Amino acid sequence: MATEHSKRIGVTVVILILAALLLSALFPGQSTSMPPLVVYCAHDALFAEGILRQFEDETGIPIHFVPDSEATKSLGLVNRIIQEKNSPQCDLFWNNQLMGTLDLADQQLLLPYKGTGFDRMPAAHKSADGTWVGFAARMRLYIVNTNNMPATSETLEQHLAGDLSRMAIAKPLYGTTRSHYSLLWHLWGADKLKSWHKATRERGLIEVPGNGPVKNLVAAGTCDFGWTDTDDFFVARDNNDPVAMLPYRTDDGQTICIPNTVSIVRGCKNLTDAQKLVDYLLSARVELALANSKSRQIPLGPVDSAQLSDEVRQLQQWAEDACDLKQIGEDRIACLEWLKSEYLK
Amino acid sequence: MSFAGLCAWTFARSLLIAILSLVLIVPLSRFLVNARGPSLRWAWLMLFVPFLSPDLLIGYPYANSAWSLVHYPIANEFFYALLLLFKFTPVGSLILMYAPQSALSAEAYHCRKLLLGNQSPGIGQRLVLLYYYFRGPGKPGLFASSLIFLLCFQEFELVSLLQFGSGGQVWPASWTVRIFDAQTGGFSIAESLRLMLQPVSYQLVGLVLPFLLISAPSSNGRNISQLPASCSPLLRFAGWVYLLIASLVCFVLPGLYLFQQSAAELSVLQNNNFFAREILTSTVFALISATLVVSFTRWIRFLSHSGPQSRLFSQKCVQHAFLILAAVPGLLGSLVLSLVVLWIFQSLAYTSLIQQIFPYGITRLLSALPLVVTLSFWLLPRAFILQAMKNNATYSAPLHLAQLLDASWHPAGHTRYQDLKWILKTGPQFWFFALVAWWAYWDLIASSILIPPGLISAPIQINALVHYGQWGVLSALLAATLCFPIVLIAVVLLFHQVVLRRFFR
Repeated sequence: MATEHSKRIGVTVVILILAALLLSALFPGQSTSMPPLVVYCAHDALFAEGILRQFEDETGIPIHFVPDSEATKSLGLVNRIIQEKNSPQCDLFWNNQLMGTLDLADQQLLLPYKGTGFDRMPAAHKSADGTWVGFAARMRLYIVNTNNMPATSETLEQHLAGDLSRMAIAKPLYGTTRSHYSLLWHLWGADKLKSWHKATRERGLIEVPGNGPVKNLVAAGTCDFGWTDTDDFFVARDNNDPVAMLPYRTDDGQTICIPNTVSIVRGCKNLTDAQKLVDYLLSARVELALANSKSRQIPLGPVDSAQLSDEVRQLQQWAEDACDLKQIGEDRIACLEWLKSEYLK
Repeated sequence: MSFAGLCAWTFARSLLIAILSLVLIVPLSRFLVNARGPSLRWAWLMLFVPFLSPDLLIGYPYANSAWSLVHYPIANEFFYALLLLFKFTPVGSLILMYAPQSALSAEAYHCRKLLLGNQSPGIGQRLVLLYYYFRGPGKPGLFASSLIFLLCFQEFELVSLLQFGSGGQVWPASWTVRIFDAQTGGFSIAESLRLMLQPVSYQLVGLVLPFLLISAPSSNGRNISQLPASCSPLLRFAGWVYLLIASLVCFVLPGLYLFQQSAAELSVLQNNNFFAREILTSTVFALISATLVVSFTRWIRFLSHSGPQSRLFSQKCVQHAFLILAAVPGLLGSLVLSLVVLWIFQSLAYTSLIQQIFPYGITRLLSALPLVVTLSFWLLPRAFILQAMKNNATYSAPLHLAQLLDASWHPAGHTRYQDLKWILKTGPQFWFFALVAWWAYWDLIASSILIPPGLISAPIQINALVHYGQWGVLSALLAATLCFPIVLIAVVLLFHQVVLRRFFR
C-alpha cells in the first residue's frame, strides 16, 4: 500500500512539473529573456490580436496580450489599471472607447507621448498633452429592422414618442452606451436624463447585456429598433439580416463618434517599445486595416480613401458631424455614479 | 430590484427547483437502479450528459431564444428554471443512490410511528416524526435537494447569458450577475465582499442542513440498497422519456446548433492560432487543478484507511472536521471563492511580493497560483462525491482474484488481468480524473477574475464573443473547445487499449 502510495506521489509530481513547464511556455514572449510589452486591450480580440501579432512579427518585440470581455466593456481593464497603480503591470492600454481612458488620464496614470501617430490625428480626437490619442472610431446609431418598420427619421420619432417595448439598448453601465448616456447627461443635464431614463423604462424599454444582443434582437425582428454601434450593425448586415442604420443625432444634429484610444501607462517598463507600438497603432496602415475589417472602423487620420469601401466612406461623412466627447469632462463621473446607484445598488 | 430582493428571488427559485427536483430524482433513481443489460450504460450516459454539458454550450444557443422572450419575461424565468432543473437533477439522483444509508432505517421509523398508536398526532408529535424522518429514510433526499439548492443558487454562467431587462426589471433575476457586475464595474473588493455577506448567509442555510444530517449516524451501506428492486413498465418508459428530453435540451440540440453554425467559420480557426493557445491554457489549468484535487482526495482516503480500525472517536471527529473545512469553500461556489481568494492575495500584495523575490520567469508562473488554488478548492466537494461513488464501484475482492490471474502460467492470463484491472480499478480512476479536469477546463468565473495577465482561457474568450455577437466565430471556437478534451480522452483510451495492452504484455 505504502509503495503504491509513493508511486502515486511520483506520478503526481511528474504531471505537475510537466504542466508547469507547459504553462510557462504558454505565456507569450516566453522565448525572450526580456519581459514583453504588456498590452491591455479592450478592442475585440478577434481583430486586435492579429494587428498586435503582426507588430510582433515585424519588430520582434514580444507582446503580452490581455483582452477584456465585452461583458465588462473595457471597464474591467480600466479598473485593473487603477487597482494596479502602485505596482503597474500594464505598459500600453488600447481602449475601445474614450471614457475609461479619460478616467485614467484624470488620475495621472498615463504618460504623455507625441510621436508620428499623434501628429496624424485631428485635435478633436486626442488630448492636448499627448496622454491619449484616438483612432479608428465607431459610431452610435439606430439599428432598424426593415421588415418591421421603415428606416426613416420620421418613423423613428413616432416610435420614440410611444411604447418602447420594441426598442432595445445595452445596459448603460458599460461601454459605448455609457458614453452615450454621459453625453446626454452633459447636453441635457442630470435631471432631464434621469427623468427620461425613468420614463423610457416605464414605457417598457428592453435592456440586454451588450450591443451585440441588441443587434440580435433587432435582426431577429423581436425588437423593431435599438441603439448599437457600427461594428455590431455590420455583423447583421454581413449576415444578410433585414437591417438598416440611421446615425444617432443629438438635439443639435451632431453624431456620436467613439474612437479607440491608445495610451502609455505610467510605470511602463518598456517605454521605447511602447512608443513604437503607439505609432504603429496610429498609422494609416492600421486604420485602413481596421476600416477594411468586418468591424468597419472609421479612420480618423488621413488615409487613401480609394482603399475604403462605400460603407466606410458614408460613415466618414457622418463622423464629420461628430461632437467633441472631451467636452463631457467631469459629467461622465457624475453620470457613472448615478448609473451605479441605479444598477448596482 | 434591490440586491436584497435579488437574493430573495434567487433563494426562492432555487428552493422551488430543489423541492421540484425531489419529485424527479426519487423515481429516476429507482429507474436507474433497475436498469439492466446494454440499456444500463445508455441510461447512465444520458443521466450524466446534462450535468456535464458545459454551461456555455447550453447558454449560447439558448441566449437568442431567451432574448426572443423579452416581451414575456416570466416565460424566460421559467425557461431558465427548467434548464437548471434538467442540469442539476442528475446530481440529486447520484446523491440519492450513493449517499450513506442512514442508521435509522425506514423500518425503525415505521416502528416509531406505530408507537403513536391509533390517535392522530399533535403538531409537536408531527414535528418529532418529521425530525426522525429527515434523520432516517428522508436523509439522502434532503441531502440531495440541499445540494441542488446550492448549485441553483450559485449559478452564474447561464443566467448571465440569458438575462435581459424589461421595464426596469431584470429577468431572470440573480444576485450572481449583480455581484459580478459590481466587481467589474469598479466596486472595491471589500465592497463586493460586503455585498456578498447576504447571499453567503442564504447559502449557509443550504449548507448547515446537510451537515447536521451528515453528523447523524450512518450505516456502512449505500442508500442504493434501500431503493425498491422493481420498476413498473410505466416508470421505465417515463425514465427514458425524461432522460431523452434532458439530453436533447442540454446537449444534443445545442450541439447540433453549434456544429451547424461553426461549419462556415472553421477557416477562422485556421487563421487565428491564438485560439489554440487559449484551449491549451484551459487544458493546462484543468490538468494542474485536477491533479491536485485527485491527489488530495486520495491522500484523505489513504489517511482514513491507513490507521487502525479502532481509531479513536476524537481522531474521526478531527478527520470529519478537516473534510468539512476542505469542502465548505467549494460549496459556497466559485464566484464567492474567487472573490475571497482575490481579496486574500491582494491583501498580501502577492504580485509585488513575488516580483521582488523571484526572477521574471518564476514570477509569471507563480502568478497562476490564485487561480489554481481557487479551482482546486471549488472542485474538492465534487471530487469527494466522485470518490464516494468510485469507492462503491471499486471492489477489492474481485481485484485480488484478478491479480491471481496475472500470476497464471497461461499467457492469456495477463491480458485478461489487464482488462479486469481497467474495469475494476484503473478505469474508475481515469474517469474520476477526467471528470474533475473537465469541470476545471470549462470554468469561467474563477478564470475571469483570477487568470494571470498574458493568458486567456477558452471559456473567457467564448463568453466575450457571445457579448460581441460574433456568433459564427464563437461557434467555431466553442466546437473546437468542446472537441479537444474529448479527442484527448479518446487518444488516452486508445493508447491504453492498443499500445499498453498489445506491447506490454
